[in-house]
Amino acid sequence: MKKEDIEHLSQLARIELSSKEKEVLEKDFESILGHINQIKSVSEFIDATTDTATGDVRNVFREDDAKKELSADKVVNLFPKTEEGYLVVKKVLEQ
Amino acid sequence: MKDDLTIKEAKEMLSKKNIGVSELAEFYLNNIKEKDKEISAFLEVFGDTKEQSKKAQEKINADQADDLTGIPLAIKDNILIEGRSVSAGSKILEGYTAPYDSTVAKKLKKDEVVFMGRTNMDEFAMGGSTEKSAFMKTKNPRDTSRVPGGSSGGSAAAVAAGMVPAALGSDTGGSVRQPASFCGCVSLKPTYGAVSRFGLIAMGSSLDQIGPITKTVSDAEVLFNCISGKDDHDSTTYESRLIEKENREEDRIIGVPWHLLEKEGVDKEVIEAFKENLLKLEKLGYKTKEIKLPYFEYTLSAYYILMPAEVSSNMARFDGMRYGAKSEGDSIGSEYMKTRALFGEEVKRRIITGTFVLSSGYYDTYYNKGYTVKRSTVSDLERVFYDEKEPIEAIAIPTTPTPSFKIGEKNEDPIQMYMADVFTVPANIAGIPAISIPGKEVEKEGVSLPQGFQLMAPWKREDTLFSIGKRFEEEIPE
Repeated sequence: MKKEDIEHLSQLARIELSSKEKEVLEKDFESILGHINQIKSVSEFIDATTDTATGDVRNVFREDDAKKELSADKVVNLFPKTEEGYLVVKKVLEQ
Repeated sequence: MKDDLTIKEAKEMLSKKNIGVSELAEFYLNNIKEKDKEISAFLEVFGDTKEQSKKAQEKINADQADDLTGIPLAIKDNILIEGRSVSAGSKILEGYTAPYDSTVAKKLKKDEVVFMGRTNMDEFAMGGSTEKSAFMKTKNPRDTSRVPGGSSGGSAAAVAAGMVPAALGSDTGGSVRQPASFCGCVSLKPTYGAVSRFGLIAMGSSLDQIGPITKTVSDAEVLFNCISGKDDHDSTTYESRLIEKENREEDRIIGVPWHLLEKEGVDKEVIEAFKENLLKLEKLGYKTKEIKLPYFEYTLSAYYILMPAEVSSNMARFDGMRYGAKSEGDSIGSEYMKTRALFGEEVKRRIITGTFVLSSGYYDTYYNKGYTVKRSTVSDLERVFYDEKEPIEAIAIPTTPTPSFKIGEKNEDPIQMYMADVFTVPANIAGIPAISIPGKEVEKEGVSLPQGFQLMAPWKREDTLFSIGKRFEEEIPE
């Protein structure tokens, strides 16, 4: 893991990291990779016979009926910046 | 009145009218006032306990009390209660108020519990000592120079110090069992899907479960019965009617994976204490049998691949746009980058790790392999739990490889902290229920420290854990 890799990952994750933080992460990663690389040594797998691990995995659907769940004002009140009930953000598309 | 009550004792006092709900809450508020200055378990103590007590008292007066009516509870800071502040131990959620009730809060409100406050935790539940909270460190009531464990350290410390009879925490890789082990409490990680995650701030969605932290196994059962059940808001839940199993002598076999204990980093005192706990089970009529769980050797590596991957997805929502703290910037992109810089060190570390294992070129090597290890772990368990000739009723293993460590001791190398999860992570990976019960204590530097005895049962078999646990807790008659 090199500095450019950490930089690339921080861009992907949208997290601004200081130089010091990137240095520390570079070091940490050596340790972390050393540990998770153990997984590469597993050559054989035995599959489970049931889907019990994730609770009988299946898609769950319901009828497409609108329900009154959460009132909009409770959500809007949390917006950092609003204008007439709309969420205000900086320009998304550059021209 | 006793210094500190169990849920059952409190309920009895309330129903006999020996004490009113408001008085009981007041009693615990005083305990909190006295002890929390030193322990720092609570991020916030709620000021409206008197208000909350009214409806509960009415229910008791009308002889309509449930098992938890009027019982004071502490709630981990990642469980939403409508209208109350909640922050997952993080600065990025500063100013955030829950716009809705989590399902567990809704269920507890139906029983009219009294919410005492929200407890400290490692930021976004990422940690094993509560030292990673963005706000403060919580101390272990049994030895205040040591950590209470994490990430539900505040909840465990609050129960252990007698500040509340019981609390809720959440467990993704051991976060409810490990602090209970360190502080000397009982705690349960339910089967994946037993308790709704709706309103629990997500960390690892295929691993998270909310669990009770209590003084006794019976109390854990009472809380579990209230908070569990199918929920339309969480499609991974199922209806958890407890199965009453016949008490058959031949069935009482406890499996012990000795090969997992012969590892570096497991204190020999912990193994000695564990052996004594097993002897206690044998005196109660259980047989112990050695079992092999080969894929359990890889569950920790799989966990530190799968969990960060899910974390990196779940943390994406914290971007300063719709709620929480926001850092101003020149462009929307820089606002994302700067806001998310508010995450603590451990959270950033795990997001970056997760981004890495999910990135193109590495997905197969890491994430896919992690997932197949998960499935293989399930197959290990199917083999021992569903064996035709000698099915194992439960698996016994220490909760943690060491007792509580000193504050600051494990901050050098992230892997050191991660290793503490070695015995708890498998239950999350496989989705099985697991309970930690205080067992024989371990001595370190002249101090007697709590050490958890952990039992893991097949999927949906919390009843087994409660049954064995209750018997283990009792004094063995001469």
